[in-house]
Amino acid sequence: MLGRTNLEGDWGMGPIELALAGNPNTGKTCIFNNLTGARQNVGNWPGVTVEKKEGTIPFQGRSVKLVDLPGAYSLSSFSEDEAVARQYLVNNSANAVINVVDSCNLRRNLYLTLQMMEAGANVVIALNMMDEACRSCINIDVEKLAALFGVPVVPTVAAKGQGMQEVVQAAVDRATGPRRPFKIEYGPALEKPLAELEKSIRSTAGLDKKYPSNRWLALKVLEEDEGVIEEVKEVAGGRAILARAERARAALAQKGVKADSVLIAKRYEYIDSLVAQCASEACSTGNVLSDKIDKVATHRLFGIPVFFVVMWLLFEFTFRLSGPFITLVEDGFSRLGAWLAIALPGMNASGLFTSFVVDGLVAGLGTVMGIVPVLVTLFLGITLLEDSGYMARIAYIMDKPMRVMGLNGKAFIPFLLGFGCNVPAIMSTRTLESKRDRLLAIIANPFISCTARLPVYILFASAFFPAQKMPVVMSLYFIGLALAIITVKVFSKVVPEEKDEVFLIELPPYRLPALKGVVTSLWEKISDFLKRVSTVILAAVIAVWALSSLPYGVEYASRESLAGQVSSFIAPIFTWAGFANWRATVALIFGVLAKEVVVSTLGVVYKAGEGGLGAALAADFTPLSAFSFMTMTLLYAPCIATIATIRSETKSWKWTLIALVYGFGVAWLLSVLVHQVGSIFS
Amino acid sequence: MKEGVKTLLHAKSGEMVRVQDILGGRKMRNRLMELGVMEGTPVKVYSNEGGPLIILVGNSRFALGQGVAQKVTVK
Repeated sequence: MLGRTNLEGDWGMGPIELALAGNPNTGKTCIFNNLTGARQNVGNWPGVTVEKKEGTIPFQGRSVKLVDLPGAYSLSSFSEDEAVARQYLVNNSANAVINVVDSCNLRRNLYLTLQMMEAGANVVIALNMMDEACRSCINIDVEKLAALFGVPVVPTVAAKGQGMQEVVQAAVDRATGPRRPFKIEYGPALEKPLAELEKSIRSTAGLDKKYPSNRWLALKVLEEDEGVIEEVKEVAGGRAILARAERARAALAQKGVKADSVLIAKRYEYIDSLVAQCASEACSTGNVLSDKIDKVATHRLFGIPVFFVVMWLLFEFTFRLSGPFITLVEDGFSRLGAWLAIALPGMNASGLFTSFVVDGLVAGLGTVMGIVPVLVTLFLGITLLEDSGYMARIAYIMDKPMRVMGLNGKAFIPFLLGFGCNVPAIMSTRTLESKRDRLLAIIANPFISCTARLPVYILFASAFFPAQKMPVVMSLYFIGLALAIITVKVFSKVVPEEKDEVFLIELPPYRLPALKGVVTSLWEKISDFLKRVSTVILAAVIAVWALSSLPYGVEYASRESLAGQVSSFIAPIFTWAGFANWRATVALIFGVLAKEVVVSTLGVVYKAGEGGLGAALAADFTPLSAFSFMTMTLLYAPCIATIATIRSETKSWKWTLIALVYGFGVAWLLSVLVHQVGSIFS
Repeated sequence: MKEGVKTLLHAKSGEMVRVQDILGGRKMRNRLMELGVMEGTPVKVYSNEGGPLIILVGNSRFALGQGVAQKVTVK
């Protein structure tokens, strides 16, 4: 990224980009939803490194873009999601930043404000009232706060939509005005090395003016910010700067000064001196109702049972509520297929085209869409957990059990999300501060049985275990969970341990989830999935159809088709697992595109509709080999979208490949084990 | 750990303490400081029952692991 654009001067009617930043749990998302309403474009899906949401605000006929950054306590590189916020603020040309500040935690929130101001951002404070209880006991002189910090301050009550237009107005005004430089004096001991660093940065061509200000970069290298150091290393002359910073740190350390700690303490000193002039002593009432709930929810003995009840409710809710809708969707598609199979030839469509539409598009999409109801209900449940504040308590409660695996409580959340879809689950590992924990959580996550695998279990369990359908399905979920645990254990031996313990999570007050927020958040998650359907999975469906139709003239999805030939060649490796037939193999191959494709492929190669498929399978499978096949499907390889996410989140082909090979190896071994051990008893 | 030094880990549920110093790990020390936990900060210990602790700093509750609590000396 080159130097930032010059933002001074007249903007006229040009586009304006505003960013929304703030600590977690400040009402930031609520403000984003209030401002953008239904006009938001949904966040990015895998492959894109920056996870930020964008929306547009209609404002006096101008196009105002609003970028929602991940919640952050500071702009250091403590965790990946905070690094994303820092990178955006430093490298992009947001014209102004709306900084949501929770008035009940003024000091801590202003720390981020200060850092953004130091980074040269045009800050506007949205002073948000979060908590009814604290509203009555804290008193902030808004005008004085604005004057002291030199930034506009707009009081807001996000939950009631108050102050929204005023915030945008202030931000737009600020965006079109000049940037004001901001500087904190850190005292002679630090100012001297800072000045020297600044000087050498100025004389390093690749770094001079690359960042918001040379002073900002000097501060970052002096406080040893990992993310910035990585960037500086790459620049010619960068290493010399880093060496100089290292020497400065060493010299300070000899005098008993920890440069990084002193910088933080000085910033707080600055904040405290200003806050003392404009706000009453912060009242520390806590939240009475929240504390009462926590007395039970985080209780030493009751916490775990409460958690299990919540989990049971979550899955009960998901599967009961979605059941009828799944039937509805599947029936709908199979009727559509049946109707088209008659209607298309009637309209003089060629046999090939009819086959493409009926066997390929409708049958394929039907299976895929069949999982949408489960996904909607599960994500609805997860959104409710997130918005209510219980999710943070889950991290707290699961801390002890997760320690057994060598992880901390926070790492449980990605596993929970994995039951929905592994892609957002793997992305959520960004909130883990330890790189090691993050890697372990990513590698193990694909073993958590996502929604897409459910249709495969339902198909086989209904066909081969009609009496014990639920126990069989549940057993697969547990096998997946057990393997995830074992995987963490195995890899924790390989990945070097970090000595710092880092479990630290804010427990926000419980809140009744707001309907609008829940719907928006749910829609985001679902439309992300649908986007994926329209690209990867649609391509998969077409590829399946094409490989089953080629070479031209073969019977559709026969053994002579391309897909049949390749699968017949590979199938023998599954002899010991009990399903060495080409049809099962072809389903597994196409299943890499998306696991739900396993079912639709089986439907195609057995030439049976959804209804008759169970009976058709009986020709090739025994109950034992059916179970072995389900085990294989559960474990063998993550889908394309997940693989892409592993790659983008680990930024390493090596680990992506390891995850793949390991996954397949484990799957093969376990399904062989199932079949061989099972054969002894049957 | 020196004898006689009290850490957050030794504080009882319901106790009010004042932070004296944060030892060890640079990363964790900086994070705690950025959250406003530093020398002189009053901290109320909500729960310290064997697992992670729950503390109140300003108006926010935080859960923190025992390993973290062990590094925070208090009065």
